[in-house]
This record gives sequence, structure tokens and C-alpha cells, in this order.
Amino acid sequence: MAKNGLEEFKEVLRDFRSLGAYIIGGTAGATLALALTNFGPPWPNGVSGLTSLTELLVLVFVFHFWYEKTSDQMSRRMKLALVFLVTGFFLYLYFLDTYTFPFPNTGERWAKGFFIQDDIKPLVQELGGELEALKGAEYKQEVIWKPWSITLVRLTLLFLWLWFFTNLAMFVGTFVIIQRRRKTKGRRAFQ
Amino acid sequence: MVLPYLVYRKCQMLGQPPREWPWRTLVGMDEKLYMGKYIYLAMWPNGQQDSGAIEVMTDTSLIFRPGVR
Repeated sequence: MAKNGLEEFKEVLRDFRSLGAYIIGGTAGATLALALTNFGPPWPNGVSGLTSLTELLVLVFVFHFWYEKTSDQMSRRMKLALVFLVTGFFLYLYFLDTYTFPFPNTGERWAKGFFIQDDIKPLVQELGGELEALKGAEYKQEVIWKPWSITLVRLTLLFLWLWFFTNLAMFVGTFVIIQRRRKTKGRRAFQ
Repeated sequence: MVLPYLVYRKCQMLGQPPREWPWRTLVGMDEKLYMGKYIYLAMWPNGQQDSGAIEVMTDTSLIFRPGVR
């Protein structure tokens, strides 16, 4: 019996999930899962839910708008997604390393800002840097940096994080669709 | 009395007299401090005083005794 579009999408989703589970649980195991949870953006709480929702929206987009594209067009999009995925990953790592600090004891990463409060500027250097100044300010970031710059860092990190997963979903989603199409074509050829 | 280290250095830089600094008085047993570096000034009924810098980095009790800290 012929499948409707929604059933086909559910199968794409199932393939996508099984590939995701294979990446997290199969190839590198718990180490990769731990690394992924440890390098998430410092804001907001519960970013994993937002990430899943983004991935779902991207898959719907890919399925709805790209399903009828030719294999060459799909392959081109896959390559582009891979380029964006890799650059996004390294940009995210750069921002995470430069604009966050590990909170003592917990190791949880908190966002810094990039504009130091005018009245604090001369003290930051004298105290031996931003981290020492933070220690002297009870680890309250808004005492050291202008609040809007902290918000901008949080948003940038969130954007780069979602950008990475958007392209990951695009890359894997496109791959799944191409493979499913090949399988269907193969099956038809035998009939 | 305690004062975050950054506030202490800022007050010093502005040349404010210590009595005008925004000291936080710790009198009870359940006073909480955030993690960080502070300047403290302890005074006892016999008139003894002690002052210096402390770093609060773990969730442990701080006890100030004359000449001990």
C-alpha cells in the first residue's frame, strides 16, 4: 500500500533518530555524550529541548521543500550544510573558550561580557585580569561587564549552538532522504 | 564585617575613608557569603581587632578568633 507524506516523514524521522543514537551511543559512546552535555551554551536552562525542537523544524523544512529536488541538488545542499556545520562548530568553540568562564567548584560555564564597566576598567588590570576581578566581585558578571554585552554573548553562543545543530540536522536529514530515495528506486527496479 | 575585594579596591582608589565603605556586618551564625575574595575586619568585645583578605571558595564555616585567623 502506498504511504502518505506524513508516514514517509515519520520514517525519515525514525532513520534520523537511529543515526543520531548511533553517533552518540555507538561510535564514541559515553565520552562523546558527556562532552556534548559539558560544552552546551551557558544560557538558557533547558537548551536541549530547544535544540530538539530546532532539529525537528529543520527536518520538516528539509522534507517539505527539498524532497522533490534532484540528487545533484540534494548533494550540493549536503556539502554546503557540512561546510556550515564545521565552521559553526569551530566558531562556537572559539566563542565558548573566549567568552565564558568555568564557575569554581561546579565547573559550569558562565557567560562573560566584552565591554568592561567604565569604573572597573583600571582595577581589572591591577587585580590581574578579568577572572581575578570576578573573584573580588562575588562572581557577579554584571559588576565587571556591561549587562547588554553579557546578553549579546549569551545570544551569540545560543545562535552558534543552534546553527551547528541546524546544519547537522540538514546534513543528516538530506543524507537520509537521498538514501531512502535510492532504496525506493532500487526496489522499483526489481519489480 | 566583610567587603568584596573589588569594592574595597574601588573605595581605596576613590580615596573614601574606611568608615564610609559599604561593609556588610556578619553577626549571626547563618550569614551566607557568595564565593569570592573579601576583605574582613573583625572586632571583639575586649577591643582586639583583626583584618585581612579571605577567599570563600567552598561551602564551609568561617570562624574568626582573636589572633587565630
